[in-house]
Amino acid sequence: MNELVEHADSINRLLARYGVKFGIYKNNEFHEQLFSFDAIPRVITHDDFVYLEKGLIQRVDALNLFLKDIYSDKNIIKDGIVPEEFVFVSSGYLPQCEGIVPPQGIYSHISGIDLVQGKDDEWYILEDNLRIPSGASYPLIARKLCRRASPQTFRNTPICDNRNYGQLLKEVMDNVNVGGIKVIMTPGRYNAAYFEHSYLAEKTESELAMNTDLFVEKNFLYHKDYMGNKKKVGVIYRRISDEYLDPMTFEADSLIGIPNLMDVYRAGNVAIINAPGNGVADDKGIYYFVPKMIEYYLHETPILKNAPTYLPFYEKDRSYVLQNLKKLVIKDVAEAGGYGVVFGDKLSAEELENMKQLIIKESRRFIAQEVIDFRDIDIVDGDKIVPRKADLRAFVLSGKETKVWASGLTRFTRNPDSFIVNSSQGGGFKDTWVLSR
Amino acid sequence: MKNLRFTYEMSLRFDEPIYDHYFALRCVPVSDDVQKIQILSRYINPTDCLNEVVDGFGNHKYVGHYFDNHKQFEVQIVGNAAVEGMKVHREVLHSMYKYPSRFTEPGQALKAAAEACSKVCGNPLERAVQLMMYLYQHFTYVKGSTDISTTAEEAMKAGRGVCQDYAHILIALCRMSGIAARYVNGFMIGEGSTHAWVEIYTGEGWYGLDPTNNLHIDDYYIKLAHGRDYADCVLDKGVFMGSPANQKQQILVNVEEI
Repeated sequence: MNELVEHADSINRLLARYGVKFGIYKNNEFHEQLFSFDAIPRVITHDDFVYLEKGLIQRVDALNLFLKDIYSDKNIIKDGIVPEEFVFVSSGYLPQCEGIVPPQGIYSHISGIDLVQGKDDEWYILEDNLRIPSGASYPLIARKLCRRASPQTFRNTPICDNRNYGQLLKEVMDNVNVGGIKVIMTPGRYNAAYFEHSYLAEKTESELAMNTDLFVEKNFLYHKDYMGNKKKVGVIYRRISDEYLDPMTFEADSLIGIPNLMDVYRAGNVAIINAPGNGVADDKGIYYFVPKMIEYYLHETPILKNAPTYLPFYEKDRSYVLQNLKKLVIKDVAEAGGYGVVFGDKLSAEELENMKQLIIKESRRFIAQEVIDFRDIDIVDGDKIVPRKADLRAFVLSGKETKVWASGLTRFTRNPDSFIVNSSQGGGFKDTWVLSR
Repeated sequence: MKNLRFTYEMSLRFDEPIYDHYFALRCVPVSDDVQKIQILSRYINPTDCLNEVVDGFGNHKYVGHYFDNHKQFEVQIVGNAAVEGMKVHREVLHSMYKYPSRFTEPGQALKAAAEACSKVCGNPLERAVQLMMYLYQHFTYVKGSTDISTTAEEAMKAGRGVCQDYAHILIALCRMSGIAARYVNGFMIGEGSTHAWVEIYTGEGWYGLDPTNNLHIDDYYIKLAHGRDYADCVLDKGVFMGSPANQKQQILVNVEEI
């Protein structure tokens, strides 16, 4: 491991040269920056991974069943498990997807589940990302460079090989392919994640395409290559968000979408990865109900825990929240990203009172969570090693079977006082080692 | 019951050729509990392909494309409708119609209006009719005063608008007072263009109200499509390539009793 730390600078230089950047949209502006790599890996023991694997598969299977239910029978609402208020006011709920059954009934093919490990060693789920979560290629490429920098580390330590991500993704794509070529759709070469798109296209034997290479004809989707050859597309892994996907169905002014794609999809003539409309299941308000979904659909006890969460919508939770507001985090369900997140202990007496009134008046709008004291991980800071907060994005792939990739993206904060692990705040990433025994 | 003959004509003209033209049309009525439709002629031209599909709201939609250069696109639909209005169209309620949508999100002006209407009473239909009456008295029809992107809140604040605004405001007021409501596009006798109105959920099904005219939807209306608001059920949508400096759309609607 020390060898890796010695090579950290050269690895970061290589990452910069490969164009390994991180891009985010904020207020409709696109920002990109280098995503700095820390050479000390996060190590997940074999036993921990076996436990995480079980819990993640269970969670993602339940989320897929929820999505299928919401866009068809809505039994979970009828049976009073999830209140309809939390479903139909969610901006991720797309009525345009009502009645569509995607190939093999899979909605979330690639799920990015964010977790943290508490000081009590318990893992907690922070967030589910079911709308084309990104980031798998960072640990892939970092591992490749680490392997080159210090081959003996990987010979002498029993680390699960993570180079199978492309193969797993290929299986997921083949499983839902309705007949035709596989396509990875990118917004273009100026997109900061373009390197990831082209990398995955190569690994999955897919065409890398932009919307201008794709078109709908007679209710089928086609790809046209630079020679003008036309091929039918059976599955499209699109790296653009729902609202830009089809200007005829969603945002009319989208220039990066494919007109009438949703009709091809509805007819069952193409598979879309991930399914449009998944946002309804990874909404902040819906998060509270995921353990209930596991019980409802799978008749199992949830293996992985949510961070302790309260819904002021329920009277019992409301009175707890009002009494304990000072030690809780309040999140506005309607706000996305890091917006609308308020720490109770940072509020003045007056602000606290205003917040209470708001919660009473608009109880459906908020969730409240206990602040988790999560475990620090060592990072290299100059010539010192210091502990910092970090989370883990695990990638779960739903094909014929649901599988967890034995790796993941570990993100950390450089700010010693910050609990928010976010690359836009000067954070970085680490390789994630899963031990094979 | 009334027997109506309807004609819908839409033409698009461009001064320079366009190509790779995709369209989606919701301008062909279909039969339901209230109206029985017989299509006499359906002309959509030019097209390479035309498919009839049903969207997520249950509306029938014609989608297709034309790839070659063209300078005009024409639609003509002629049919008969046997309409028995002022009747509930039975259907299980989809709860999305109970909650605010993009165009009907209430702000200060709508909340004040809802406050002013807090005394409405009776069953959902009776309450909706009282809300419609309030709107009719406190809102003025002014052609051209708003556009297709105007929200219910903006229109309420301005105090004037067109049928789309009347519909959006009534929907917002209904939803605020616990009545599920949805936006409807269609034809009305004596109106040379398309019209917009509202359906409210009575408890058994949908019932139409025309807030622009303060009327119940009777035998003189033909429905085309519905959604949470305008954005869900646009009648003619299209995208194309090319760079015409000028594009002219003309819509003509005629409904007469036969």
